[in-house]
Amino acid sequence: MTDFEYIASTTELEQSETFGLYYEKSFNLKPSSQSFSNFMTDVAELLNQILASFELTEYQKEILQNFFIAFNDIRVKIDPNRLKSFKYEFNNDDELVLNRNTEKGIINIIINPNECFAFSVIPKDFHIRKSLDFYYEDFKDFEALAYKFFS
Amino acid sequence: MKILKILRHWLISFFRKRRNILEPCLLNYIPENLKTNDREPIQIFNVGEFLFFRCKPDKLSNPYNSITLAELSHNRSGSEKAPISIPNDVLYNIRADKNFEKYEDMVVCTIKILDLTESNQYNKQFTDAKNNSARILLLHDPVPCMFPHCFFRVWYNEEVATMDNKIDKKYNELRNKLKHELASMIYTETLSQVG
Repeated sequence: MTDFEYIASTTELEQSETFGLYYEKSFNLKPSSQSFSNFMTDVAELLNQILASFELTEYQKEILQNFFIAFNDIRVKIDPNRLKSFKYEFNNDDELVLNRNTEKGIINIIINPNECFAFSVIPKDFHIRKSLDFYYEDFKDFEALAYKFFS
Repeated sequence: MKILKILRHWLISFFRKRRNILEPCLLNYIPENLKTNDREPIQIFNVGEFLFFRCKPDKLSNPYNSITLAELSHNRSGSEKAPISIPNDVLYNIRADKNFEKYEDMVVCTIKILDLTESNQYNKQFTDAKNNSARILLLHDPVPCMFPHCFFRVWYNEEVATMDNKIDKKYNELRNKLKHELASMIYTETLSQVG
């Protein structure tokens, strides 16, 4: 995407009733040849795609946005190489699931329609302990979880 | 003559149902060893026994993320000493109203039973922060053309989850816990396709 195309698409997204709030908050970055990586384009497009594809609840949009802000913070402040690709799906139970299938196991962020989201790690080695943790409205440290998601 | 034939068929079905005897399998492509015939279910499972689940290839790493946990069908492998099915058997179409033999576009996810109750049942309880409870029970449920057929039945607060009642949507934590439990039993992602 060229800078011009980026500006055009950003403007379009920010004007959109659906994406304006979330997109602006999450990706109010200006492109430069140095800092605007392909990854950022991918992530922005991914957020756009998820928001457009599924009927998410306000709770799910908010949690998703918090994660995407954290993904961006990791890229900018911590380690751009930390970010890796992941899959997502919206299932019959209206859960939005972000997941990574790594050599060590499966890592899921399960964003329920309301109330709480879950972070699960399922190691491929049966001897390593699996984990499933729940996070409620007062949870703030999305960066730590995002970091763990890409570990 | 036709009426007599129908009546005979109805009477046989009626008495079979009364005696819990299944209809015979009429699908010729199903191997004999998979047909139930008059075999009884074996409501005892084995630690280390495998369960085979048919899923789309892109869901293979964790098919339980994508589905609603209501009457979740699998095939069981049986014990090592007395095996009753292999992974690919779950790819057979066992419905007479579908006009194909195998699900060519599906693959097999294998899960492994890691622990059982003292009576060799897979029967687990979960609770959430609000004191709601869920229970998951594995039942051997032979059908005419698939003796190894079994399924997980799920209850939320004593109410059975079905595809119709969508009861699982009320219980986020419990639903997440049940799916996590099943996903953590995934044994292999080895593609096991038709052929």
